[in-house]
Amino acid sequence: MSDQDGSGKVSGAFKAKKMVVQTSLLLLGVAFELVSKHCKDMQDELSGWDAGRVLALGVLPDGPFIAVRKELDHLVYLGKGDHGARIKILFKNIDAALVMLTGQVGAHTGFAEHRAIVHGSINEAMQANRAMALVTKFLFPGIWLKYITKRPPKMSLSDYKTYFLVTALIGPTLALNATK
Amino acid sequence: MVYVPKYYEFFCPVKIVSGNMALKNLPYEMDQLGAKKAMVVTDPGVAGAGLIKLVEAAFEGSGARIGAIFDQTPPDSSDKICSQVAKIYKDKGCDCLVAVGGGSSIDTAKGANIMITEGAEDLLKFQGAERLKKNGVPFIVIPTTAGTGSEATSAAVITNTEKGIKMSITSYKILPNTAILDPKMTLTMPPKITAATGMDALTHAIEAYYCLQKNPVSDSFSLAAIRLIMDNLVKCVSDGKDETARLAMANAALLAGISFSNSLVGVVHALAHATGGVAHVPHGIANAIYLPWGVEYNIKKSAEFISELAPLLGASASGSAEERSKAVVSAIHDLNKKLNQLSGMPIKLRDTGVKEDQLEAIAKVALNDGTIAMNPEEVTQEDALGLLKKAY
Repeated sequence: MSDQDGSGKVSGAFKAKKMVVQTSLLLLGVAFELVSKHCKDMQDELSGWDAGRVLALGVLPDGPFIAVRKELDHLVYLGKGDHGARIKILFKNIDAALVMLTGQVGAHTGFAEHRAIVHGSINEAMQANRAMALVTKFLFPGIWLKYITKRPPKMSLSDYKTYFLVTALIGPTLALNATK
Repeated sequence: MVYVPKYYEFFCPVKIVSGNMALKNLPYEMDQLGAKKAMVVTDPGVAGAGLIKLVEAAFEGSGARIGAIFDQTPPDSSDKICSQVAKIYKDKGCDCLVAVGGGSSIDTAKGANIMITEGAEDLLKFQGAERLKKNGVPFIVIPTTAGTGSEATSAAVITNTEKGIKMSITSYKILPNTAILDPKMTLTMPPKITAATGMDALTHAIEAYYCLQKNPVSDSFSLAAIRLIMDNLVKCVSDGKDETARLAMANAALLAGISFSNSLVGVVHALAHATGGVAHVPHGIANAIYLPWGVEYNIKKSAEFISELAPLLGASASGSAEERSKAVVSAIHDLNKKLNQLSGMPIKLRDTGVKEDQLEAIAKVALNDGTIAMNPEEVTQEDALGLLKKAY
């Protein structure tokens, strides 16, 4: 049976994939907030964002979506939905979202394979892409990043500090934001 | 070796009408699209060179006619200009857009087509990829340069005058229906512009061949384009009246356009776009200057693909992939030097009027250019600055 047969009914496999994607998006949204509060490089990157800019990530056609907004020098996880974002990174389907969000393919490969598109300014999307790369630096192990990035990021001493902080705080922060 | 990626997409529905007297088929092509009254979009240079008279002459004895001519397209297309074109189109009851010119006239017609079709004044909401759902009005392009390949690309770059930003709109819906390549339309191009636009086409073909969205279909277009450029660009610069070489270059630009519209480009274009934005260096010249440095920068990641171009560029085809790739870089430098001697086309950034203290700003802007995402090698601001210094 296909994931969706046009009748609106979806298979258990589709539901499972959607749940993984939803959780991955929540993790990414929360990580955006945590990393932006503790990583100097991320704050430097965000200095190029205008105040209040909302970035949404989601799956076409019906979601799930999440959004983050720039406030002061960091990002705040807004929760589910696109929150009227001016810039949206959209995965074309649930499978595309699954392989990209779970790190099976890197962002550059995903975009090269047309698995995601951008709605909004390309310049702002490039900034968002760099910010996302900074977040993934703290979410995936170095050996994994070697395969999904063009050039594996280097970890400085302060990056290790951020890494430990993010690792320690991600669980409780996820729990706090799970219903947002 | 033919490389087949794990996944790719390719789309080009543009009808190509190429050759001597191709322009005479304009009314017939309009009829094929169900159109009778054309709105011509062009620029003062093209009109001044008498090329619109050739277009008008093509309508003689046909059932179709020109409803309006807009010949004030500036070098950088803007939403206000698109809006003017869309208004004239509606007021004069036209049913078809005919762009005659280079990238700016073609992008203006693409922007106007969106406004006409979507009934929109503001193009901001169409920024990004694949946001248009409606098919445009019949749209024919007659290029007068052999470089941009815009007659076969799904992208338009239009300035938002209010916000002072360049909007990038990518959609299969803005592809022209027909491209008419007539050698008579490029005969008046001066040698320097011929050289720069030709190098623009070569950059499209080469970058498309090794950047991340490459695929076997776009590769075949790139290879044909490179062959045509290497055989004909110098001929066109040396003798602008060589119609055979002009037609070959028009085809090369089209083929390179189809290729890069489907496989995108990389750091060379990112730097060229940024240099245009910061220091107003013409796109073709910037591409020519950056191409050898950009190719060299990617050898570590893409030697396998770059080295395949060696025989086409007249470079040494022996040695390791890395050695052959380096020979490709040398061949591009040699071509640039030859074009510089023949036409005065600058081959160093310092000769274009760019000041050294502008390099940092160019590097910063380049990082936000979408093309950099498809470059095989990672590019940081430091890397971009290093490339700019080499090209300076």
